[in-house]
Amino acid sequence: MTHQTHAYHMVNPSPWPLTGALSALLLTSGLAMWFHYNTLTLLYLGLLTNMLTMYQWWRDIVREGTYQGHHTPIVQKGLRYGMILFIVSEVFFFAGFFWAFYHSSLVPTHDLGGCWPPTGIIPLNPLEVPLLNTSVLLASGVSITWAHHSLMEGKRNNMNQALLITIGLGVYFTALQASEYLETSFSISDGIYGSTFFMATGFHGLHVIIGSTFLMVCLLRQLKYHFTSKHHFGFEAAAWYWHFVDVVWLFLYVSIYWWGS
Amino acid sequence: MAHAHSRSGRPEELDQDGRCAQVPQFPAGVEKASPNGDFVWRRCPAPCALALLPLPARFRCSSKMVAAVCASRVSGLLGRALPRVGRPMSSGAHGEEGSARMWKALTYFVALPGVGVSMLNVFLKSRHGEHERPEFVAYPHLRIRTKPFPWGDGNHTFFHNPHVNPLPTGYEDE
Repeated sequence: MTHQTHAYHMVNPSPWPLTGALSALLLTSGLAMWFHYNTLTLLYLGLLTNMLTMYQWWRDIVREGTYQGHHTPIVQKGLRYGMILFIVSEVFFFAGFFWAFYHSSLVPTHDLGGCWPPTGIIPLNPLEVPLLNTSVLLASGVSITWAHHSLMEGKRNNMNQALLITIGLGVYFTALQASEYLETSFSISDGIYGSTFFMATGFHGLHVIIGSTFLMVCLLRQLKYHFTSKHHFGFEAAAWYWHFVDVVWLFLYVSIYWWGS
Repeated sequence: MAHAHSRSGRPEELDQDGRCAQVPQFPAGVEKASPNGDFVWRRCPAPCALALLPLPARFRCSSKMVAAVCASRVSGLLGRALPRVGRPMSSGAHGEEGSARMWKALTYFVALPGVGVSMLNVFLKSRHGEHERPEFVAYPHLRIRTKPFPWGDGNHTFFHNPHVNPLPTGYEDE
């Protein structure tokens, strides 16, 4: 038999899972070397191999789907399941940090002054920059929906514009959060308040950066005519991820910025 | 005139609205037209591949149901692997053609002005004036240093701002 008689994708052998695993090893050992022996070499190597693995692995997936036609509907269904399961795992990741926050803030210990926020902590005003951040992410959720509908209706200019606005809002959020981090009177070393605040918002900010990068890749692919009005799962995955990031922020805002202040 | 591929390879005839010009063959018991005339059961005799292309509706079969029938015939050949063409639009569609327009309007008239108002709010609040920074009290539960940070002198946090962040020993610029 010279051709397959099923609609699934039997992926060709690839080195990227191996390089990815090796990069994970370099990253973890690199962090340990940096913390304990003040040397950054292994960590840099880990970051480099990690970036290379991601670029090449995902480039191959784009080639297989867009140029070679391997992403039949059943294959796309599998990719959908995969993205959904990944986002579910991320939900659980954040659940841990929210657990830590509520554990610490619902029953504040004696050494904090028995109150929340702890004695000596001046929290950020939730009605200033945090509220602006909320409006920025909500607006980006609207603009990405506009982008999706434009894509489905074949309106190319609209889609490009909407996606650009979404990315711009994401970058704006990141810039605002960075400036907030530089202005807070408390830091990560300020007890359990600082720890829970910066771990939760810090990982969220990292996810905003990841989501914005994903959207930028989608913009580049859109400009290269990779997406059709019926088949654009890469964009849908980015949109799902972006909405997830938005929802996490809403939980953060209500829990940490608003209730916790 | 647009063409579609039929099983025999003959291009399908389409009328000037881009609809199948084939004489309708109604399945037994099916109404000829809906009461307000906007939906008609028709059966294309051949799979209408046009229905699967990313073209505006008027170039495809004349109604969602016809497209779905066509798609289901083709998907029947492929073992139901194809997605339904006449898929129901969810989340905010007021009409298949109009939903992008609606979200565009929402973006420009609601979402972005909302961001603008929030920006104005922050700007106005910041003009209120810098307030005095609080006096330094060496609380043991704050400015914790169980091990040095891996950068600099190990005593400054990553986003350290000398004006608002005191070290464990106090403000740096006092």
